[in-house]
Amino acid sequence: MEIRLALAGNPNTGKTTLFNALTGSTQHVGNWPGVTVEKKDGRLKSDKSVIIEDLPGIYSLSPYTAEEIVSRNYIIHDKPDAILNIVDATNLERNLYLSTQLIEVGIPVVIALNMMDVIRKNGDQINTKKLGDMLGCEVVEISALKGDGIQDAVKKAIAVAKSKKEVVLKQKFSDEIEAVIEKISGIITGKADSRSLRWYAVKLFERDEEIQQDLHLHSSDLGKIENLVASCEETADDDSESIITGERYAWIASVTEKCIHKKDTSGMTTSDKIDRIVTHRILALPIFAMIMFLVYFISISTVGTMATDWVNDVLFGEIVPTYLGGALENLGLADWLYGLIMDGIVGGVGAVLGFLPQMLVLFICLAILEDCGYMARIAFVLDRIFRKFGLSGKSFIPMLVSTGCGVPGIMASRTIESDNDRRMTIMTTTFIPCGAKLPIIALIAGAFFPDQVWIGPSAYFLGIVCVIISGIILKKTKLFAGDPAPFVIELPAYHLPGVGNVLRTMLDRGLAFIKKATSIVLVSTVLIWFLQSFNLRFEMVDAEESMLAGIGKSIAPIFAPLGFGDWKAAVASLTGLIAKENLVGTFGVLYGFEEVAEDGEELWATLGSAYTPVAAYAMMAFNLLCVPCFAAVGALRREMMSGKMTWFAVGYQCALAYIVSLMIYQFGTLLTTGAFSIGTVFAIVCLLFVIYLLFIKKAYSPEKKPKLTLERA
Amino acid sequence: MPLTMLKQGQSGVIKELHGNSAAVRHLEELGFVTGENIRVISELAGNLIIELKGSRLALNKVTASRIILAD
Ligand SMILES: Nc1nc2c(ncn2[C@@H]2O[C@H](COP(=O)(O)OP(=O)(O)OP(=O)(O)O)[C@@H](O)[C@H]2O)c(=O)[nH]1
Ligand SMILES: [Mg+2]
Repeated sequence: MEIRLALAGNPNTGKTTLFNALTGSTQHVGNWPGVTVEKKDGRLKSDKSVIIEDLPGIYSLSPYTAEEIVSRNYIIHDKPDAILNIVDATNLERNLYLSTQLIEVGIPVVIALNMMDVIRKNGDQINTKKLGDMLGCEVVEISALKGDGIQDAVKKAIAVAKSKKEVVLKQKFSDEIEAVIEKISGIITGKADSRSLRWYAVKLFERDEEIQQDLHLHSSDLGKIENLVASCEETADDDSESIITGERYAWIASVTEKCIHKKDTSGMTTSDKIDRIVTHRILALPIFAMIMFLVYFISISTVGTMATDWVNDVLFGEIVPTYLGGALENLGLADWLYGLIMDGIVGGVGAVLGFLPQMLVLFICLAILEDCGYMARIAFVLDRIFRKFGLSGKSFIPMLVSTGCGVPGIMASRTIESDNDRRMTIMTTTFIPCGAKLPIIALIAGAFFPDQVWIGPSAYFLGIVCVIISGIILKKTKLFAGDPAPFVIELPAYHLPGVGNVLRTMLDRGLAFIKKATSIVLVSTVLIWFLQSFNLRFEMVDAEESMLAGIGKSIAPIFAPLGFGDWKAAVASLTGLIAKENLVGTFGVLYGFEEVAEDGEELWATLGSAYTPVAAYAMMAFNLLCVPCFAAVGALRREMMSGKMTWFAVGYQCALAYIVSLMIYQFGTLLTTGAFSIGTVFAIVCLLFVIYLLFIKKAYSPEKKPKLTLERA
Repeated sequence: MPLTMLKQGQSGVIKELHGNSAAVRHLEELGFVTGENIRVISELAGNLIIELKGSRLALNKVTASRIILAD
């Protein structure tokens, strides 16, 4: 028989760390609240009949944001056999608030007190036995990070799941409330799962609309309940939700007082001291800019480049051509097959894989950023600025996640409360260059701007500027009008990123990149090679007369005002839609094939002489900002849950990319060569239009709309 | 008086919360309940980092102005 265990708990308590340790998965772990936004299942390594479900973190069973609904629905509707409630022992009071509700649901619960390593280090003491007795369930001490006690915790959870023992929460509300809850329970008996009767009654007392609908209660029953609640509220002079929350917290305080012995906390912790600096009024932004500059500088211009140069010049430049090429020649292959392997696959896929070292360095940097605790701080710091442009600081977390990959970045926007903010974040987050765009940046930086370190970071800050500009422009439209939701975020204590965790994340993302390069990119480059080798009559021809040149030439004029109006760049940009690495692969096939056989080191030199640096930068900007890859558009579609919004987003991204790239090329050319043309006029018109949208256009304001927000004290 | 009036290092006791019901609800569940002690750890142009029940939370100015402290 299969047993389903759910890992539930507050955000950032170590659920995913435990999940990975128990199942051997490599799900994303990070030191900020809201890393996991989707449920994930896996099987216990030591007993495959046990299914473990990792859930997004929740603060309570009344969901506030989209990812919290997933967790509540899983617990309430899918009813796991037992819940392993992961509790952050360093933050006991606020974590037990959820625990009391989980126990109330009636599913067997085992509490795993996580982060015990920190508690021990701090010299604090928790009386686990007493805590368990007072709560009415078993409590186990663990450290998910170190692996301490985790097998014991699972064993206990499996045992309670098998015993199907009823659990009863020992917490009681005040007598009047208990009496009302008793009456509500009476009304809904037989209409709700009997195990969870008390939980349902409390929820109805709180007027939870979803539960009211779920239970299909008769309107007369609802009326009875409403009367009971209303009279209670009148005596207490408070609304029902606040009464329940207040009493729960009061009871928890009385429990923790008896069970936990903490050292004095009134001083400043190390985290507080760091925060004084990184959230400093003046220093905060320069520090952030510095960190991001370093991330790109290190991965594109230093460590990463050295390794990449070796891979490009020596591995794919000399070793592979010499040995593989020699071997193939010895085999006496047909010309076309030799061309396919050497020019198509080695030239294309090799060009992409050549950037692997730089990507691995980027992934390491990002994993360190994500695991140290800085993410929540930067959301807080940027809130002050983003808010002026209509976005909340929480939008920045998806953007940092997008630096790795746009798909999880788009999904991370689920933690944003306001619908309009969330939609806007989904639309703009892919302006931030993702890992797959790194090869494009590195290629342009290497081929056109050798020794200029600002190219990589500039691509990143270009993305942020475009997000901000979009924020201002879109907020003025009816679709996105409205203030961002109030900003509250938990700040986890800083900690040194775990070496294992960082390496695992790097390997995981690196492998995903290699997989992509040897599947999608491989197929694409083979196709590109084929199309550029043959004409419509399937005769092997010079690339200039090929089918591909024909296709490219028909769309190239669109890009002429942007400075890269030749068919090769047009085709490359097109293939970038499938996967952004394709752009590099396509260039590898189109520009590399003559050289690969003779002199690999010259691989990028021909490319470097094909465009001016300004045109190359414009091409990079266009490809970074324009529609992300198909996978990201798919994610965008899922999160928007609207085809219309998806088309709008894609259209907006194309338009923005085109305009920005046009301005870069035209103004750049004007500045560097003094050449003034009709294109320059277009660019000036675009600039004026953007200025109008930014500064002059009036914001949409909903007039004569009744005020809907309920004021309550 | 609203939480925004506290200076770095000062603390106060929550009296009530203002605002729309979903936001108030969320704040309450995070532990901003009547009678609870709040200490301001640091302040950044009206935005605050506070201590609540032994953990650190960051709030922006608007949110802080909705949290009313006992005088
Ligand atoms: N010191 C210590 N840190 C831990 C422990 N378990 C997890 N962490 C750290 O806590 C942070 C959060 O871990 P996650 O596993 O991502 O937390 P989560 O509960 O899945 O978080 P959400 O998905 O956001 O709900 C990471 O930085 C972990 O390294 C532990 O036992 N001790
Ligand atoms: Mg998680």
